[in-house]
Amino acid sequence: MIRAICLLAAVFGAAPAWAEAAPHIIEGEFAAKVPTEPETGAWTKATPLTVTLYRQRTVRLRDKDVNHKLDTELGPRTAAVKVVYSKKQLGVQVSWDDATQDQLEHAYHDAFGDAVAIEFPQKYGMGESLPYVGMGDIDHPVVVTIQRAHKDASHNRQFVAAGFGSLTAIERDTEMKMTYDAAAKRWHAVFVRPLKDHNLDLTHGLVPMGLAIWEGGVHERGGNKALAPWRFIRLGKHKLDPDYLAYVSWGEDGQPIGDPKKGETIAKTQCIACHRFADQQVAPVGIAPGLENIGGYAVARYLQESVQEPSKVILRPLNPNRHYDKSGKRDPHGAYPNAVAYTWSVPGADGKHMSKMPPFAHLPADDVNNLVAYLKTIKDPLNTKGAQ
Amino acid sequence: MSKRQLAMVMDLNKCIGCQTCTVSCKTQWTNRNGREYMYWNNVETKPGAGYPKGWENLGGGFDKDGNLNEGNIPSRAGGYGVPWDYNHDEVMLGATLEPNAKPDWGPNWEEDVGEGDFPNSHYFYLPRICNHCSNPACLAACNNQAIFKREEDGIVLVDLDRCQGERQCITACPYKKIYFNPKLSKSEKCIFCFPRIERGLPPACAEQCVGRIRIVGFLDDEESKVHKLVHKYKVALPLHPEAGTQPNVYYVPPLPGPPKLDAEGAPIEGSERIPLAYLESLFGPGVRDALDRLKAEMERRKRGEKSELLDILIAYKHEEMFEIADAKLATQPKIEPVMIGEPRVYGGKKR
Repeated sequence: MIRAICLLAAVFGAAPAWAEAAPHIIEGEFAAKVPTEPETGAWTKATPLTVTLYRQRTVRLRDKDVNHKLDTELGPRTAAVKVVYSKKQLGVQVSWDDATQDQLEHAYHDAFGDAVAIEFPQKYGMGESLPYVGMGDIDHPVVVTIQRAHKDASHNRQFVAAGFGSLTAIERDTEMKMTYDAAAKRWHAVFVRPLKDHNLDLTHGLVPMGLAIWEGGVHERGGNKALAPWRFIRLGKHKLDPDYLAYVSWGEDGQPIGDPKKGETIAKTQCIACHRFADQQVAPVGIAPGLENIGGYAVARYLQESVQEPSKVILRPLNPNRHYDKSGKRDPHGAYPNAVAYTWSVPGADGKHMSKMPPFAHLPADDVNNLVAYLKTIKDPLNTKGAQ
Repeated sequence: MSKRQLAMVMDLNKCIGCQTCTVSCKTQWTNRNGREYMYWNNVETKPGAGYPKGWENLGGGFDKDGNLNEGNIPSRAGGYGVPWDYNHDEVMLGATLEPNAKPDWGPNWEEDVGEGDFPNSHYFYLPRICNHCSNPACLAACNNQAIFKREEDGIVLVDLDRCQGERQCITACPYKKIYFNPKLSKSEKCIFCFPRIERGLPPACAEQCVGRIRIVGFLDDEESKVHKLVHKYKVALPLHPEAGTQPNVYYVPPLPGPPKLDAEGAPIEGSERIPLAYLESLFGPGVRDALDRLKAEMERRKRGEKSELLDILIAYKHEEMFEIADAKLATQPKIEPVMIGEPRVYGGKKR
């Protein structure tokens, strides 16, 4: 952490008070070798960053047996994240407390296992927007690496994704190991991947990383998971772009960016027609992403850009077949067309997708800042009413 | 959703519950590799809880406005029943026949139980496969868009490369005809024997049916038998149409059977052995008209007149029940995989 502070001091002249913790930066530990066994070798020297993960609720499970559990049983979770890197490799160790080891070893049918995933954007750096952290978006593919508590390592998989429903398996380039410490009731998961290959180039001073955890005991799976906002890996051996550091650091914990009270007024007058909030549910379910706990997993910069330039980051809608249009013309086989209200973008004149949300570029900067400050305060993990 | 649609009509008045369809499907597709407990085709006795147990009360489908409903995942032991075996080898040496488990439910547990007391009891058989719906709820529920409907014939399939084993499809299917393969951690279902269809052969369950109850063809072909039964004569009805998925397997409902008997054993005129209301709860409001039509055509036939409807249902030649000669080899699904691009790091002028 000391290095992070020095670094920020170098960028901004003197370290501002909010930078002391730098809670969005994971300091990478350089070592000759990246161990695949957790808590050995260089892992013991690396400084952990405590990351809070919030329930992602954009996608509600269809599962009647467990929805009530998901609604009530799980709050935010914390994980200790360490990064070790060598000349060729980058390792991430994720450790989190879990009272139950939901490991799938035998024939199971209505049981689900614990799992953890890391995610890197394929394109990042100054001038490129941060992707939607959930699974990327139409213009921002991400590489997702997931390991599942299963005796069969073939359940550890790697994907490229560009939004909901787009997870596409690719050849694995990451070594994975998930170990349960029964005494401490704690999972340790290690990912070791090439620093640079045909999928990702992570040879950069500041690399965005996404993180998700699934609690198999309450049947979390897929889009129902605990999700952290983008965190950033500092690799001291690689050059840092100070502009990018400043760009992603805007509004991070402790740094005041606006007045949430004023922001709430804006949200509750201008956003509620389409977006649902925990305490404001006039918008029809599913016509726009729910914002019940958006502040838990979206970084301030992402929120700011989404307000000002919604078409910069376009989410694929959830499966558009979930709602069909009963007033629409049925095909010869009786199928109703999908209801168009549930798509979130339309093709523009140039064929590129345009968000259905109008840009709020006309809002004064102070209003946008206040709005983002408010959105960052919404982290209610237990409200799901807006999810579709 | 699809350009063409294959359909199957099953005449329940001819089903004898022999399970040959079940066995032909099982030996072809589900006797191995994590599918052992699955019956893509099953024949259940109605009234009854069916397979999986109580599937009609496990949610799924669409609501009246076309929004996908929530549903349950049947449990392995209590819903499907765990497959068990017997000690046949030991029996040969004098042991008593014992199952190797203590089963309390299975795919045909309540065979021939039905409802009512002798002599006024009743039951009929209901063979079930995937309905290859026009608005498939399984397809709608999948977060990974791993389920698709083929343009060429409307067959609904799971893309196992995209399936992540979330089992949302199982909650969504109102017929509970999609199953979780615990070995592969993926969902699997009746594939309407598409590799056979593509070679001009009917699904195994239909070809092996000794009762000749299954008629297969393209619903969009107005000359096809399935089209005539469904649209022209309206005697073939979908199962639980209220689930809103527009199923493409249709049933000729069972005739009500002989009248009930009174205490003296005399027939009660006008009594319903199989209550019409029960049949309507399964096949919707078209049951009365369908049964009336069937009875009228049977009367015509008794008078020696021609009846195209009865000719189709009698099925003089088995091979003529299958009109799939113009089935095509299907192309790959139109689910666009995300292509991996070149990794790029932007900016960094000051690097």
